[in-house]
Amino acid sequence: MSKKVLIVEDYPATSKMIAEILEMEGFTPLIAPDGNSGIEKAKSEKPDLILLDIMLPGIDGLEVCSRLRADDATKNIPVIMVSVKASTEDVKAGIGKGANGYVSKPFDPFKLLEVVKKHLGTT
Amino acid sequence: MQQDQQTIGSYLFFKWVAIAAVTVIITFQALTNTIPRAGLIYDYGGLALTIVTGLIMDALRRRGRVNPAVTLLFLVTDQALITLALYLTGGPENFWWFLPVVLIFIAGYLFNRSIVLLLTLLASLAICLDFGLEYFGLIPHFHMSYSPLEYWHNPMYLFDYLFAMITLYSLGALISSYFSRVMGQTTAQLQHNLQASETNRREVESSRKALLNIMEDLDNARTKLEQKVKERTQELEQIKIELEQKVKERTLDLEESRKAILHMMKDLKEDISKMQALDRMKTEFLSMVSHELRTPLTPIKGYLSLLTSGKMGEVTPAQSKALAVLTRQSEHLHSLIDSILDLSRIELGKPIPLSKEPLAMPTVIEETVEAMKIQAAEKQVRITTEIEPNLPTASGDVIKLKRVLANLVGNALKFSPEQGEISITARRVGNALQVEVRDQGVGVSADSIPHLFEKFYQVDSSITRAAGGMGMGLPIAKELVELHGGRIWIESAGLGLGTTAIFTLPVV
Repeated sequence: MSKKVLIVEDYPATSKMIAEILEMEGFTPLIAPDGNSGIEKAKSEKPDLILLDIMLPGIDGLEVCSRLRADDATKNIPVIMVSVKASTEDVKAGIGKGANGYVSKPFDPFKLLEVVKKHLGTT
Repeated sequence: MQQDQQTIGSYLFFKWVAIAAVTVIITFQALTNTIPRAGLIYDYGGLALTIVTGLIMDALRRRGRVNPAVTLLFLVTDQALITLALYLTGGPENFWWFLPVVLIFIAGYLFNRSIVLLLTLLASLAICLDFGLEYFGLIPHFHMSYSPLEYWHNPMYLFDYLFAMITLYSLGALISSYFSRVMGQTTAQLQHNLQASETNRREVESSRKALLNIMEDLDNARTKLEQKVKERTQELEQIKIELEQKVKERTLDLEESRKAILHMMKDLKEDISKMQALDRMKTEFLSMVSHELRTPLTPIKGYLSLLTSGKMGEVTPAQSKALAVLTRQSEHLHSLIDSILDLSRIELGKPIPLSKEPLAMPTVIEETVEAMKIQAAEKQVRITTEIEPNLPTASGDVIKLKRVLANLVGNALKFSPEQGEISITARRVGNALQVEVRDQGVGVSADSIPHLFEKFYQVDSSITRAAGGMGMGLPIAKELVELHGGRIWIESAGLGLGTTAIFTLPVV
C-alpha cells in the first residue's frame, strides 16, 4: 500500500503540482486547503507524512503543527514545513512547534521529493 | 618796651595805693591832733607832687615813651619827694622814714637789681644828709609838737635810727630782688612753657590748616566725581532705555520668528509622521509583495523543473531550449523577489539570515559567470576573468555573495555596449580579498557616485528604463557586503569611460 502524504496548502497550483510529483513517485497525495481541514484529514486519513504550509487562511501552519502534536492520534506523524517564510526565525519557529523538517518556497520539486523520501524511509 | 610799660603800670598802681593810704593816715592823725595841723600843708603838698609825677609817668607810659632812663628818673624823683616830705614833716622826728623801704621794695620787685641798689644808696644818702644837715643846723628843723626834741638832739639815737633805716633799706632791696628773681624764673619758665605751647599751637594750627586744605581738595574732588557719576549715570540711563527699546523690538521679532518656527515644526512633524507612516507602509508592502510573488513562483518553478526532467513526457530540443530560457528567467525573477525581501528586511531593521562557511572566491566567480553566459552572449559581451593564483579563502554566505557578484555583473552587462568586454579580477590587497568588475559602458559622473547606493536611485531614468532595473541592486549588495565585514564602492573616470565596481571581503 502506497504511503499517504497530506498536503496542507491554500494555493491550488502549488498543492496540485506537489500532488502530481508525489503521484509520479507512487505516493498517495491528500490535499487540505486550510488549517482546520488539514487537522481533520490528518485525524481521519492518518497520513504517513504531512507537508504543511505556514501562511494559511484561518489558523496558520505553526498552530496546526502544535495541535497535531497535542493530539495522540496525530502526534507521531512527521511534519515538514513548506513555506515562503525562509528566515532563520521562521525555521526555528517551525521546528519549535514540533516540525521534522523545513523546505522554503519556491523549491525544486525533486529536492522536496528527496526530503519526503528521507522522512518516510523509502530512499 | 611792652614789659617796661607793664612794670611801670604795676609800679604806679602800688604808688596810688600807697598815696591813698598815706593821705588817709595823715588826715586821720591831723583830725585826732596827733600831728600839728600847721604841718599838713607840707604833707598834702608832698603827696600832690607825688601824684603829679605819677600822672606824668602814666601819661608817658600810655604814649609808649618810657625807657630805663625815664623810669630811673621818676624813681629817683619819687625817692627825692618822699625824702623831702619826710624832712618837712619832722625829719628825724618823723617815724615815716620807712616809706622809702616800700618804694625800694616795690622797685626791687619790679625793676632790675642795679636800679634797686641805686635807689637804696640814694635813700640811705638822703636820710644821712637830712639827719646830718639838720643836726649841725645847716638846714632848719621842723619840730613836731608831739615828739620829744631830745630824739633828734641825741647823736646816739640818730645813729641808731640811721643804722636801722639803712639796714631796713638794704634788706628791702635784697628781699625784693630775691623775690623778683624767683618770680622771674617762674615767669621765664611760664614764658618758656607758653612759648612751647605756642609753638605747639602753631604746629597744630598749621596741621589743621593743611588738613582743612586737604579736606577742601577732597571735597572738590568729591564734587567733581559726583558730577561725573551723575553724567555717566544719565548716559547709562539713556543707553539702558535705548537697549530696552531694542530688546523689546527684538523680542517681538523673535516671538514672531518663534511662532513661525513652531508652526513650521508642527507642519514638519506632521510631514515626518506622514512620511514615516508611508515608509512603513512601503516596507510592509515590499515584504508582502515578495511573499505574494513567491507563492505563484513555486508552482511555476516546480512545473518547469518537472517538464525539464522529462518525467512529464519527451521534450524536443526546441522545447528544451525554451524551457531553459523559462528556467533562467524564473531564476532571475526569483532573485529579484529575494532582493525585495532582503530590502524589506533592511528597511525594517531585521537581520538578514547569513550563513558563514569557507568560501572559494574563484568558484563563486566561475559559477556566476557561467550563470550569466547566455545573457552576455545575447548582447555579444565578452566576460573575462583574471584570478590571482593562491587566492586566500574568505568566509561567508555563498548564495548572498553570488547575488552580489551577479548584481554587479548584471549592471555591467546592462550598461555595456554591444560587443563590449567585462573583466572580473580577484586578488589579495592587504588583509582583504578584492573583487573588481570593470565594464566599458556609459560610466558614471562624479556627482552621481555618492548616490549610487541609495535605494531606488536611478542614474538616468531613460538609460535604466531601457536597461531595466529597480535601483535596488547596489543598496542590497552594499548591505550584504557590509554584513560580511567588507566594503563596496564604484569608480569611474567619468561619463563614457566605463565603470568599475569593487568589493572587498576580509581574509580569514
